[in-house]
Amino acid sequence: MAFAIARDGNVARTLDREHFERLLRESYRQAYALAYRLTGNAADAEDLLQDAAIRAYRFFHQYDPELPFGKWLAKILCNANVDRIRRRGRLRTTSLDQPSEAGGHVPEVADWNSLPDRAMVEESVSDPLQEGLAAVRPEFRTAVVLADIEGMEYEEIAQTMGTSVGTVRSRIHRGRKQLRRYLLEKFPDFVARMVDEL
Amino acid sequence: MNCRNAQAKLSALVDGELPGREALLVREHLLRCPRCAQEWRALRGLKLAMGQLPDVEPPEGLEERLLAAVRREKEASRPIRLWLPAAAAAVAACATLALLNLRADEPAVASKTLPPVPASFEVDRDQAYVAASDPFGPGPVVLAAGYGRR
Repeated sequence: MAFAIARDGNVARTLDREHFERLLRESYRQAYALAYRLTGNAADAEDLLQDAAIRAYRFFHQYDPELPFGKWLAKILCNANVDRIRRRGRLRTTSLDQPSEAGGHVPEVADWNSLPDRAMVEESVSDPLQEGLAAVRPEFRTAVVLADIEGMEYEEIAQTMGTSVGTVRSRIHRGRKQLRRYLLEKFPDFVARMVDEL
Repeated sequence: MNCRNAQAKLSALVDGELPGREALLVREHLLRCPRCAQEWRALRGLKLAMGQLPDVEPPEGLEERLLAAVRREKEASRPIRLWLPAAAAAVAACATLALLNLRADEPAVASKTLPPVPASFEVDRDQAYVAASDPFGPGPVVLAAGYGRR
């Protein structure tokens, strides 16, 4: 009987693996685009997506089939990206969303050379927007990318990032302000064209 | 509404995420304030430009590499998964055998510590007790040798 249960378990796992591979085949293109916008280059995007795919496989038993697999994978990918940046020791641990208790001042980026993803900036010089995204703090960048490129609503972004709608609103606003400041400083002509085209 | 309040809400307005009354108040402010209106146009232009970024094509062979990475993960976790049912069955078998062995030993241990007592002896003992307790009885009762040991 024990062996029968073990055999049935193996059959179930095999079906799960086949199901997982089919869903991954359907979703990996969109997930790669998100990974690329978050990391700014092809090599890091592939590493990030691979990390997210393995995590998704490990926790596939927790996946709710009622929800789109692509959204679930995007959530795992965003978390994996935060972990990746933390591992590199480039992510500040102080909250940038809320004013500090002491001074009530929220730090803004003043020195672009000390950015969290300076390497990403240097690797993406061909695209002002992609370069500008690299200049934005990772939490803000993720929120802006999910809103503007993935087309998610705030509620959806909040679920994906595991935070509140209010925090999402704040992150998007600050992210866009950082992005605009960077573009105005580095690519003023590009910003002028962007506004003229409206 | 002042400029500070309005500017904090411009991104949400651009995204269509501001509740009706709040959106109305910000729009009224934009009609009166050219500086905030310019900021709103800039943020809207940024959002539109982001939405027009070209699609990112995955590199050649990415699908195969991803599936291969997932299969490596499967292989890495397989030995543990296959051994688990076998190990559980082995532990269960050992436990069953040990239990059976323990039960088989139980009668031998009991026979050494508590030898059976004949029913006739129990009757004799009770009668001797009653006779010794009777103040009008014939006198002391002589018990069989070894009685006190029981």
